[in-house]
Amino acid sequence: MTDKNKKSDEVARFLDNLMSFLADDDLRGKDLAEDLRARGLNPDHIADELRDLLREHAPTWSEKAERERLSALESFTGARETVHRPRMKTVELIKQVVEQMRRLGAPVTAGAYHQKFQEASDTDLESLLEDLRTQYELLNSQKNKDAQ
Amino acid sequence: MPNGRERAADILHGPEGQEIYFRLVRYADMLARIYGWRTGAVLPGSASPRSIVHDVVVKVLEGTRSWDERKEPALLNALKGMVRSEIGHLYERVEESLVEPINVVLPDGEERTGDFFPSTKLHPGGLNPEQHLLRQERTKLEFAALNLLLKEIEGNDDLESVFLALHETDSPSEIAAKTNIPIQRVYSARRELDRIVARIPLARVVRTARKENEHDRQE
Repeated sequence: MTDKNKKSDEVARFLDNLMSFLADDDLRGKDLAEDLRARGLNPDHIADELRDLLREHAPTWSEKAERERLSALESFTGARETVHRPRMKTVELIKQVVEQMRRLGAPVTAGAYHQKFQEASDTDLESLLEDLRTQYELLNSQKNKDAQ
Repeated sequence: MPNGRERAADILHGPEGQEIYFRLVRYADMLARIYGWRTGAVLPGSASPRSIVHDVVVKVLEGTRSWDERKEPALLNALKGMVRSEIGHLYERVEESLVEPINVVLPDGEERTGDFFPSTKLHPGGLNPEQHLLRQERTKLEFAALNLLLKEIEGNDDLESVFLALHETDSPSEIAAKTNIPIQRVYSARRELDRIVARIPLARVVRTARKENEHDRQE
């Protein structure tokens, strides 16, 4: 081996040893965060990155439950949007909601809706049912509040 | 008994999780810097020390990389091994892509051919001319990095002693024994050396290597 090769092997070995030597550290807490900052790295961003990564790839039980709840809610909403009911069933449901609203004292003109039942498409009827349900829920919650 | 994936998730969710992740990023940053010095290149593509750490941890949590706690009980050490292997592979690919054509006319008019590399004549089974050239380049960069480090530690007795001992060993206890420096001072020197390494950018190493190269040619 020539002197040059020997020297280059020595330098390579030195750098290998340097990497292993620096691999361990005894920094903790604030010192560690400060060290990252000195390297131009933002510890807050890195902490956020870990949190996001864990939430996505290793969620806790409560995160999983929350995710499942949201997913169920989404699929329920989706199902409500896409369900295909027979036209007569939708009309019947509308009548039921109108009756419930009437019982709450809301002035619903059945005749106006009756006219609509004849002319409206299936999608319009579904939309009307959705709309009436929302109105009913609002009225109901208002009435409950008043009762308290 | 939970598998490595579940255990890793538990630990990372636990009180030491953030510290493990911080230390891993710090380690990746140091490794990428020194690999960069040695190859004269930054991490390829859009990779960064942080993205490498992120990907390694995701792989462990998804089970595409496995952590065997019986073989390596400390999660941090297991992750460090994976990060090191990822960074090593990335730089190997950089080196493979840095192949320079052998048959060129040099700036002084001399024509370079495969015969320009004597090792291939003497050792046909050894490095081919391209590998030889890469190795030469790498050696120049490594010498430049070493010289820059030397300049930075000049005048600090502990650092100079640790620096010398690092030519033979990477173990803090062995360095302490060889240099007669108490182990706590070896650790302090390590922190200082680490800060120095973080201060030397790749561009400075490349510039120094070029200057030394020009100097050698003039001689």
